[in-house]
Amino acid sequence: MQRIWEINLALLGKWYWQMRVENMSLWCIVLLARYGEVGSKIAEEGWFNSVWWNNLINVKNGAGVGSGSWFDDNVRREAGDGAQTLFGWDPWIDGLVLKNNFSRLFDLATNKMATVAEMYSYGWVVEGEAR
Amino acid sequence: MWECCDILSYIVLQPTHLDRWIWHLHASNGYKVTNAYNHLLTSTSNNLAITHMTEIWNKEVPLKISLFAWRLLRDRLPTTDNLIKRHILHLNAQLCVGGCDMIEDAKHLFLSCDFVGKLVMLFLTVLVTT
Repeated sequence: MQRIWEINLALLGKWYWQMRVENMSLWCIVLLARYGEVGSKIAEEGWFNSVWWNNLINVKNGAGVGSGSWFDDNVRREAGDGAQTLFGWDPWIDGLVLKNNFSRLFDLATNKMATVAEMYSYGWVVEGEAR
Repeated sequence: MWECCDILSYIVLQPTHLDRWIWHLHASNGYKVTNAYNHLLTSTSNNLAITHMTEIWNKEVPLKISLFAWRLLRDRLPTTDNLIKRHILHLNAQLCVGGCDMIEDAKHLFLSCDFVGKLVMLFLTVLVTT
């Protein structure tokens, strides 16, 4: 017998995962337009969130299971050319999210939505100093 | 800032590869509901309500006691904080009914409240003497 609470979370996780993988697809764009987005991730505070969407946000925050986030802690971004990865927002360095780990630097950054590829083209070190 | 540069200095992008998401628990195939489910099962194993299933739902325990314990471990008893969450009480009524100037939640009532502690002792002495 399956435990309903856990299987529900796992299935919701599939939605959230698919939204990340297919973030350019129509269904995903429609959802994000309907509910809002921040850094190409789903936004938390919506005016007219459905119960299903609020549950997705819970998955995003990993609520209810131990400490930390069961979802985000197990998701990594692997940067290839870096064109589709956000420098500050995506967990592309060993799961580190630069926005959170270097929040003061991130506050100073002029382009908060820069991709990894853009930052790379400036050269890491130069950009680090410029910030 | 230098720490940040340090981390970045080791990273070289690979222009021939596309960026992709990786699900750590099943790195090759991406997200799998079954292993997310299994992961959730193991990480909830320290949940009190689940680990004490057999003690709570024991035939020798009266049903009302079982239900009470179950609700307590799931934090579903009508304590003041829960009633406020459900908009039954107003926010300004959040202090403990025992008058101890603490916010009333299940943990406070059952573990640290002086008033309830004395009440329980009183009941115990009455029970023992009868």
